[in-house]
Amino acid sequence: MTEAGSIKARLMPFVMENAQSKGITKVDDDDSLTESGIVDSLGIFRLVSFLEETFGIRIGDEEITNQNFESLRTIENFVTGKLAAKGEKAASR
Amino acid sequence: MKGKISTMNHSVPDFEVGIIGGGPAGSSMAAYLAKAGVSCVVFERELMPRPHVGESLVPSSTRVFKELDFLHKMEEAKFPHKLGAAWTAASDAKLYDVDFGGVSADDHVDIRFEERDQPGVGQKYTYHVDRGKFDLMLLQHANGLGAKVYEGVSVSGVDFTDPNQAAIKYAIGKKQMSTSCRIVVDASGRKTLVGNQLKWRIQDTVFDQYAIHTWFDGYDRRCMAKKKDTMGDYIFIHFLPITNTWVWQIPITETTTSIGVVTQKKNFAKSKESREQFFWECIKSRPELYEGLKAQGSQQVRPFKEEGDYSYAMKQLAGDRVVLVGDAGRFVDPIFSTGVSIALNCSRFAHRDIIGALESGDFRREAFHAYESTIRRGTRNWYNFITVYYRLNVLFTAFVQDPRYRLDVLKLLQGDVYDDAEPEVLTRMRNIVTEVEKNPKHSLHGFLGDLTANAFAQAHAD
Repeated sequence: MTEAGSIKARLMPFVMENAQSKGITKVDDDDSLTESGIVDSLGIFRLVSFLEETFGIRIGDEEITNQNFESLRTIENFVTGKLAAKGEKAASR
Repeated sequence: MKGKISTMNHSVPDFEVGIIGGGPAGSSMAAYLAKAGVSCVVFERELMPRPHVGESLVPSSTRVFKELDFLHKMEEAKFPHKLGAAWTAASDAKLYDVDFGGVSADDHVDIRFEERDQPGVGQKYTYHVDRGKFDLMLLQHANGLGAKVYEGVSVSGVDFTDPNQAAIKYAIGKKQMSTSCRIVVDASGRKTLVGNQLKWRIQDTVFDQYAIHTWFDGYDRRCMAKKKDTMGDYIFIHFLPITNTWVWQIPITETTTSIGVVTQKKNFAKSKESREQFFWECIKSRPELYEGLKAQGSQQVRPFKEEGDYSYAMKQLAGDRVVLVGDAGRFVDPIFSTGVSIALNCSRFAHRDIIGALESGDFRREAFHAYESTIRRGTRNWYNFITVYYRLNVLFTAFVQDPRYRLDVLKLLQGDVYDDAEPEVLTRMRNIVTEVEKNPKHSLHGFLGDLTANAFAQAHAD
């Protein structure tokens, strides 16, 4: 299973690339990505595609909420949950 | 008496088909019918050429030009080739985010029609047209194929009381006249002559848009283009920071450009400024555009013209002995330049049913069922696409940029909307909108535009 730390490591370049385009150089775990404009309305779609491709998960339309996508930490938790569910599914087969 | 205008009733009608209106819907219908050897007459209220709004086409019109042997005339007329479309937003992302709920960080998306092969079209571009010239050419083409054409004749109504024929009524000077035919085609445009007479018209309460437009000569259209060398002849849609307000930029000739502002009627009423001032205030909110239009060498060459009463549907698109085509049947919103192409495709589908009815002698509404259902399906797809676009604009941008969906969106933009019950990509977009609407915690909930709230319910009620 992917460790939480490694999720963040894979997420970081994507987030930093977006942050830098807004002139932001440092993003903490609990910084709001939406309020700072790092992830804007269009960025949400890109972020979802990025997570789906990077972690091999499916994200439903109903899961695209502020609660899940607010900060690095919430995204990490969300992806961890998705991967765990995926793992259980695979294990139960 | 065939082919002759008559004031008397005859058991043999004057024409097989009488067409009210000589715009693209009426003249393409006349051309299809004349080409098939059907006697038909067109009554056009104006003397052609006359100016008209709706100057940009989509590629689905090419199929009609081909079928009518008209495509070479489009080339000979040297109408600007429309290779693609581009959408621009104010580059200040923050402003855009807050006031518009739009495409935010990315201030530009564009498509080229050649990215997707379109069955039955086989051409990588469509056209922008001077409607005065284009409409006259198509009407003359119909006339050349054998359709009778009367200009400057304003039809006042249709008499359906005789069970064996219909009579189109009009005045020549002070004299009341009528022409009889087996089938009437209403192509009267937004005048919706038959729709009004039979009380079929339903006003659309969702789209209450308003447009003000004019032509400029010498404006450098590339001033807003990202790829300046290749995009000069694209249509440009420039978003303004005012909600649901946008500007069209359409090439008319090498040097002439049509510019129009489309806004919600309530914005306009609120402003309390003169209409021309409102136009310039809107343009000013995109400084590069304003500078371009005001630059030395650029000048306005036509008076401002306004278009109101934007959107309506009809309870039915056909009845006994009558068929409605083009704007006479429905008008939604011009955001995707669909007006002329829908008009032409109405004729493409309807003329088959009309010829079938003439052959079978069955002129009841049922005889036109194939046309009615095809066009309803197509315009419903357009309506839903436009609704998604206004309701959650970022979705449109995201889908255009997403390689998984880009070609499917392009298919819609090319005007290929008549085959499927609902294209998959549209279902996908509508599902997302529905999810975002019902879930206040959805990350995109704050980006919903108010213009088309509940629009799907509205669309499905028709």
